[in-house]
Amino acid sequence: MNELTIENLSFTYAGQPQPALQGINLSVSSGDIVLITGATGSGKSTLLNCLAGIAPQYTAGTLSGEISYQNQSILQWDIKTRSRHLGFLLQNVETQIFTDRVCDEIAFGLENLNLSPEEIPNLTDAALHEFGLTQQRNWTIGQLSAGQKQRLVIACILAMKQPILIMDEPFAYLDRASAAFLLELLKTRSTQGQAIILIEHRLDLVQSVATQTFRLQNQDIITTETTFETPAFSQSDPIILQCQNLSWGGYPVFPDLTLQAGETLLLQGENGCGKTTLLKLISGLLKPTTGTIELLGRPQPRRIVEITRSVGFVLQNPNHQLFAESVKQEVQDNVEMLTRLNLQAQAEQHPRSLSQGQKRRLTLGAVLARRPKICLLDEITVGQDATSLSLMLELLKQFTRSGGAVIVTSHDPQVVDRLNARVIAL
Amino acid sequence: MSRWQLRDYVFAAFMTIGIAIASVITVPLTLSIPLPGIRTIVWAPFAGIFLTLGMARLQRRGSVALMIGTLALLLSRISWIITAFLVAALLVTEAVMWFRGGYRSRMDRLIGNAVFFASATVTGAVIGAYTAGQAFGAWVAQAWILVPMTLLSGVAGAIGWWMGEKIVTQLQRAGKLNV
Amino acid sequence: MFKFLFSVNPLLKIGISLAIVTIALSLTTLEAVSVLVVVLLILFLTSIRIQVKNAIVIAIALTVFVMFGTWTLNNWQLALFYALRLLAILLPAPVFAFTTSPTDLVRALQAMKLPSFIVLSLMLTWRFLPVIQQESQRILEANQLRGVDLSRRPHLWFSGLFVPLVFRIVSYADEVTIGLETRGYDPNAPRTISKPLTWQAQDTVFTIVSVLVFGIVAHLEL
Repeated sequence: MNELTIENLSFTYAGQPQPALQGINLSVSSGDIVLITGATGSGKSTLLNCLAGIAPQYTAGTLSGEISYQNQSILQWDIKTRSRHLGFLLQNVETQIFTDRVCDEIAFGLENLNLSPEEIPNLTDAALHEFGLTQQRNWTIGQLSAGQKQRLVIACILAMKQPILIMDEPFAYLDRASAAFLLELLKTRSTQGQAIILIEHRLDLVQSVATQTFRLQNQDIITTETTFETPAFSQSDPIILQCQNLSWGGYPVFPDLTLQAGETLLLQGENGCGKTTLLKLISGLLKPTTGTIELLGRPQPRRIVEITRSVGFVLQNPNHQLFAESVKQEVQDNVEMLTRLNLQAQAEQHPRSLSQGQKRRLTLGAVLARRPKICLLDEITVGQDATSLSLMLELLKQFTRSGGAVIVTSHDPQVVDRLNARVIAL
Repeated sequence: MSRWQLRDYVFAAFMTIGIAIASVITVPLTLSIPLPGIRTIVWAPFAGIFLTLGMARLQRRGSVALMIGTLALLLSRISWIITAFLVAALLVTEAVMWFRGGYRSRMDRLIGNAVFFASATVTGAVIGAYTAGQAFGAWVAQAWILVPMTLLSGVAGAIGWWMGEKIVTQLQRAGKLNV
Repeated sequence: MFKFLFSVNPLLKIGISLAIVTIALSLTTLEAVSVLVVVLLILFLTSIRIQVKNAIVIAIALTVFVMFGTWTLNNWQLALFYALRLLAILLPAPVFAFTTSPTDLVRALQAMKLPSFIVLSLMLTWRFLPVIQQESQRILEANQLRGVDLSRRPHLWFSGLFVPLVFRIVSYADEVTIGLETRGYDPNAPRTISKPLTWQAQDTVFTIVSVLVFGIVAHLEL
């Protein structure tokens, strides 16, 4: 039986001329693992919001079409009612955890169902057992890893025994072991009859288990096929950065780095291998336990504000890095920079009103507007569609041509082809 | 806009978090100065930002009670004197604002902030004096200290209100404050 | 550390603490208040691990308080009395807080059949306070990365810290509301109380001992 059917679903955000979703048709049956993929901006989050009931209740706009669960329309159901039948795992798992302790968290969900107090301990034990968290029963939430937190939330949500589980980019922050565990979990549950909808970017991990793949197309693709020639720097270019024997915390010693003007470096590795830590060491946010860093031929200055005169760092979450009241002000009135980032139309808008992809581009512009010698970028592919990524890479290319150097990190193996940089695997 | 919904309670709780963070930052700076109201004066501009935001989003009578009441409960883990004077101050504020019908307009929010922080100084002084005994009671009740400190607390609250309103404007421009 | 107080019913602890404060405020003799303070100090020192330097700071503060009182009142016994009474009023809160985890407190409040939004507000504040503190830490780092040392440029605190922090908080508030709904939470619907409060042996012992102490204090007072 078709558990969930989406018919001709379209959604247009208030004030936008183009619909974010148009004419989506999808049906999901018991045991399916449906993969919904597509570039950021192609409507993946919009689709999730429509399914969950977040749109149009929390995000203004017009919805047309039909969503039916077991042949019943659910468009009038609120989020709470839908959650009884469709389990939702949101992107930021922190927003679905409300207590201090693992066992209390599972109990919290069961209490919401108003079950009798006698049933709750057994159900808690069963849930912990099924999701591999029995050892963590009395742990505090802070002690859990990202993968364990996610499993906890899945356990809590599925305690309501929904036949359909919908997950928003669950593999985004998982390391290899947790990702493998999650895949196994999904496969097991699907053979038991659970229907799963995965909204996911990391195709390499998920394609093997998906029974259906649904690709959303971006409505307004600017196909700029940029080719990246070999970097225009020679051996005689000055060495801007030299790191030797660096280590910090529990990570193994990082490989030695030498970076010349005009060079682009890609740090590749799984989540949790220390890529961000290395960038933090270079930018001065962390002080190395061992080793030395030489910036522009001199030892790294002690004060971060001095280091950052030559080093710019674009953080993974742009929401921590926006400070101005207008987009133009954020890049210090450098309108040409805005044009290169395709943000000139938003010049007078408040930076916080932009989409995630636009915010990421804006923070890159803000960092480059300060004219650093080195630009560090954490997880360049996260929150980016193909167009946005192309614009950023083009800007970085121009930056390196005028003598800057770039270090980029990514856990996505696909980015190597786009970037044409020297790769260092961590 | 009539009934309290889940999103209102959650928003109020997060405003309480903001006010709590403001306390954690500012109170240790003035902890040892025995001047009544000095802690309120330093705390008010920052706490007032969140109080104003909460007022702007929730708008109803009882908004301050919800935000400060939770704070008072939270801080009871440190000292019951704090809980006592915060509750007294919120009761005074809600009583005064009851007649204005809530916090819908900017003027309402200004009055609410000024009244709350001014009463916090007074209630803090009174309750502190009562528990610390005669010596401090006499010291604190001297009008020439208490009155100016109360007025300054109101002014500090107004500063917090002013900064809060600036942020309200930014939130609205960014489309993030859907009332 | 003495673990006894940890397992006593939280509502009982609240009740006894209130009783202690009320009694302390109504005492007038030095001997009575001393007994109360000694008992409280024993509870305090056996339940909470306190650092030596903190203890010294508090001892100094109390001494200053007594000296100030002696100077203004010309009566050192009265000043000492007020100092001890202040201790009696201030000590119960940390002892209670340290021996009652926030989850236990939340359960106690739930069992008291308080409106659910009170419990929700406390729970959310407790859960997300560290999360928001982390966010402010990241914003502070982002400021350093753009060359702004906030400790030396206080006029930039508004646009550098408060505005970004408010945006993060507002964003979290909306996301948490949705998160609560996806977990089936409804403030207006009935919810199970999964660990109802019970009266146990420790509670009886605690009550009896407290009543005894109050009796001794009352005897010394009258």
